[in-house]
Parts: sequence; C-alpha cells; structure tokens
Amino acid sequence: MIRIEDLRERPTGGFVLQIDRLRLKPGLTLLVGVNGAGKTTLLELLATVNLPHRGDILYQERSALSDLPLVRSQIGYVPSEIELYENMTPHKLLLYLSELKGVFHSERAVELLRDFRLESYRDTKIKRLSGGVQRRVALAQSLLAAPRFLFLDEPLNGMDTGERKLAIAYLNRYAEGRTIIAAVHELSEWEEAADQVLWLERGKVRFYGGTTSWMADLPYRVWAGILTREQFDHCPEAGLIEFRETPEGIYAKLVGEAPLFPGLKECAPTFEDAYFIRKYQSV
Amino acid sequence: MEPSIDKELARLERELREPLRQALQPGPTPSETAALIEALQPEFAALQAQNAGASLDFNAQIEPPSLGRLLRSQFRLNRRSLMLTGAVVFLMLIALVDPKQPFNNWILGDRMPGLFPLITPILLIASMLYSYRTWDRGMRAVESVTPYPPALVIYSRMLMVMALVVGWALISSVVVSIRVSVAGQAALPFIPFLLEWLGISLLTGGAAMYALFRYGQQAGVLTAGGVYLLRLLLSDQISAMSLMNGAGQGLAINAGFLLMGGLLLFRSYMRSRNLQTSPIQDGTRP
Repeated sequence: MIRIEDLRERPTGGFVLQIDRLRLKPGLTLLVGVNGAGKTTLLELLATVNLPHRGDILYQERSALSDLPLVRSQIGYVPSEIELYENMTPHKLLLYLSELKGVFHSERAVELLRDFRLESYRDTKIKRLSGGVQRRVALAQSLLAAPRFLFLDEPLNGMDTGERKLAIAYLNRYAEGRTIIAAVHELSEWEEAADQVLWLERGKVRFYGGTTSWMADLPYRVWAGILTREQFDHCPEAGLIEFRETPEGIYAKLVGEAPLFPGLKECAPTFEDAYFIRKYQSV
Repeated sequence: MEPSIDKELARLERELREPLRQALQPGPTPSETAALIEALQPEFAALQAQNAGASLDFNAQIEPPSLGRLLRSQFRLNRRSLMLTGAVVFLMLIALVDPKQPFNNWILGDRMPGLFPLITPILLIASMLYSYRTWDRGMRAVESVTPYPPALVIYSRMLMVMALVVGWALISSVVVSIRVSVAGQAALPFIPFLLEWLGISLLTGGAAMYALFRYGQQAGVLTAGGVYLLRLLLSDQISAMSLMNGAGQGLAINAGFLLMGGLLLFRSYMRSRNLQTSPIQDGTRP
C-alpha cells in the first residue's frame, strides 16, 4: 500500500501535480493520461528519483523523507527514456547494477536474463541490440533486487508484439503481493493483467479504482460503422476513438449518447474505449 | 365494552410481566465488560502483530554497503578504458623523461616542476571528469535509486580513478629510476621524485572530491584546476625556498601537499557516507 498525502509538485512545462489524498493498492496499476498530465512527475516522485517539495508519500507507512535507504531498497524503476551503457553487455550491465543496488550474487542477473529471454544477447554489446531488446534489459534491471514497489514509465516502448506479451505476462505474475505502477499509452493489451487504473488529468487524479469500476457506469456509449467521407469530416475529433480506411468507406468508432449517423451500431466498449469515453466526458 | 377490554388488557399485562422479565437480557455490568475486553486481548494483539508484519522491511536481498565491493565493481566497469588511457600516457611519460635529468621539464622550461607533477594531475582531472557519472538522465536516475548513499558510489569511482592514475605513476617512477641508473647518472633520489608528483596529485584529487561532495561537479573540476594552476604558479617560489633552505624544504612542502590531499580524501569519504538524498534535477549535486 502506498499512501500519498497533500502532494504538490510543479514539473517543468507541465501542470502542477496536485494529489490531496490517495491510497494505491497492491497489484498492477495502469497510470494513464495525456502527455504532460503529470505521469512522469508522479512516477519520479514515487521512485524517489526526486523527493516531494510539499506533501509526503508513504510506502507501507514509511516515508522516503525520513527512511530513504529503507524505501529505496524496495524500489525498482524504469524511466521512459534511458540510454544504457552501450559498450557493456546485458550481463555485465545487470551485474554492475546489481552491485550498485547491493545485490552481491550473480544468480538474480542470470535468472532475469533467462526470464526476459536475453540469454542469446548476454555477451553482445548493448549498442548492437535492437530498441526492444534494450528495453527488456532496462526492465530486467528494475527487478534485480526483487523490489516490492515497481515504477515503470512506458515500459513497453520500442518492443514488438511478442516482447510486449512476454513483459506483460511477467509483470502480471510479479504483481502478486507487490505494487506496480506502469504509465502506459496502449491500454487494451494490459486488460487481463491490470488490477487498477489511475487516470491523471492536468496534474489531478480523475479516476482511481479497480478495472471493474473503470468499465462500469460509463456515461456514454460506443458506436461503430462505415461512414462516407462527408460524414467522417463531420465527426467531432474528441469523440473519435479510432478509424481506418476500408473498401466500403471509413470505418469509425465513436463515443456518444446516440448514433451520430444512421447505420452506426452500438458495440461493447473495450478497456481502452473506457478511457476515451471518460476523456470525452471531461471535454 | 370498554371497561371489560381494559380489565382484560390489565390481566394480560400481569400474566406476561414475569415471562417478559425473564426474556429481557440485563445490561452488562462494568466488571463483565472488563472481563470481555480481557478475554479479547489476545485477538487484539494478534491483529496488531498482523499489521506490524505488513510494515516495510529493508530488502533482504540487499547487503550492507562496502567500499571494497564498490571499488571492485567500479573497476570492472571502467577497467579497460582507464587502464588503456593510463598505460598510454605513462608510456609516453617514461619515454619523455630524460634519464640524465629526470627533474627537468623540457616542455615548460626548468623553472617549472618536472613532467610527472605536470602531467599526473591533468590526467587525474581528465579521468575524474570522464568517469564521474553518465550524462544520461535516465541512467543517472536508475543509478540513484539505491539504498546506498549514491555519493558513496561516486566516491568509490573517483577513488578507483585516483588509485589507477597513482598506480601507473608509481610504476613509471620505478621505470624512470631504473633508466636513470642504467644511464650511469647518480642514483635518482626516489622519495623526492615521488613526492614531487604524488603530493600535488593527491592534493588536486582530494580538493576535487572535497568540492564535488559539497558544491557539485563543476565546483570539483574548477577547484582541482585552481589547485593545479596555483602549484604551477608557485613553482618558482618553491624552488627558491628549496635552494635557500635546502632540499628538505621542498620535500616538506610536497609531503604537506600529500597529507592535505589524504585529509581531504578522508573528509570526502565521511561526507559521501552521509549524503543520502540525490535530487538530480539540477544535474550537479551527487
């Protein structure tokens, strides 16, 4: 359990992060919101990369302000942008970071290389690895000390479909009895793994709750169908969930109380649609 | 009709009074309440213990920090680049020092200190700057989130750099000493030769680390540069004092530099052990 109390933080070029009171439950929480909503600022504060100027964050009732080494011993962090030491191999980097974190046995690094299917790249220099493999190494390093709290900023960036599934499956298992907060842009792929959703908008919490609540009581419905070019041009941008060209016309998925055009049919909202519906409501 | 109903109700009330009195439970007495609380006390204690178990413990996977372990780890990380750079520079040094006049500096003239005290501190500052920390913000953040004071990690890295540079210089000094003997000159006064470069090198490194852990990296580099330049500027005076008061005076000054450098290194170590927080927003504070 993480408790946030009276948190105020002004990131550069974004909204002031303002959270009066929030209890983050164990399990996998998806942190969603548009760019600049305060997701990275919140994750950096949670990961103790920066300490709050006002307010406090309590990790099972222990504050980073007074018990920093203790709290940090239980934290793993993956920033959204990270340039790993490119002349090191994944194995060497994991060993180096293990020792930096105080884990002086190499078994854990070897175990993570296996779990993230990095064994074949073990002795290849990082600069020769693809972005997705580098991201897997970045994710693996956050788990070196088997921390109780894991904060991930867009952890799947640059990964291909297979790598994404592997990472999500691993995190799903790892979240058992631990707390993972992951800032993500693609929600649908996390639907099976996520326990909670935390939605930040302009630095404030707009929604926090379980995935069932996330999907319940949606104020609008989802409509989908084929539109003509003219109809499509009249669609409100805020209500457009997705669209693609088809031989018959433009397939569009829209948020609304009623179908905007005849021929659109109601469809069950997905995990990601729920985010668009809630965003649409706030607009 | 009404009087008979009243009578009947009164009779019913009388008849039911006793059974109702028996059915109603009397309120608990204070002694009964106390007994109940006492009986439940073990349950309360168990609940408290359960909550205490949920409190955050120090990660059992993590062992206490050790400077030795950190030094080994840092050496593994940087060994190739540092060993190669150090080896190349000191091979050059050995080749450049004239075995017939080992104290002479033919680059800046005889009024300046020898080549060793000229080049060793520069190499030290350059190596420290190179290996201080990664410039990547993400990697710095990952390296900062450790239970150790991150400054201790930086200290171990700096200390390792110093040890490597000084180590190479020592090896080179021995080689120079052998070359002087082979050249048929009088034996090289090894201790004065050693102190001449070791004193200023340790002072430069110590000052850099002292400033680094108090005011940040830029201050560290500036302080080291300042100390080094001051030593160059004072070379004339130090030489003059040695000439006037004997070689022992120069030796004492260099030994003083060595001691001051050692003291600054020790103070930096103590400081690095206490630096727990590492906000990286300004990019300067370790």
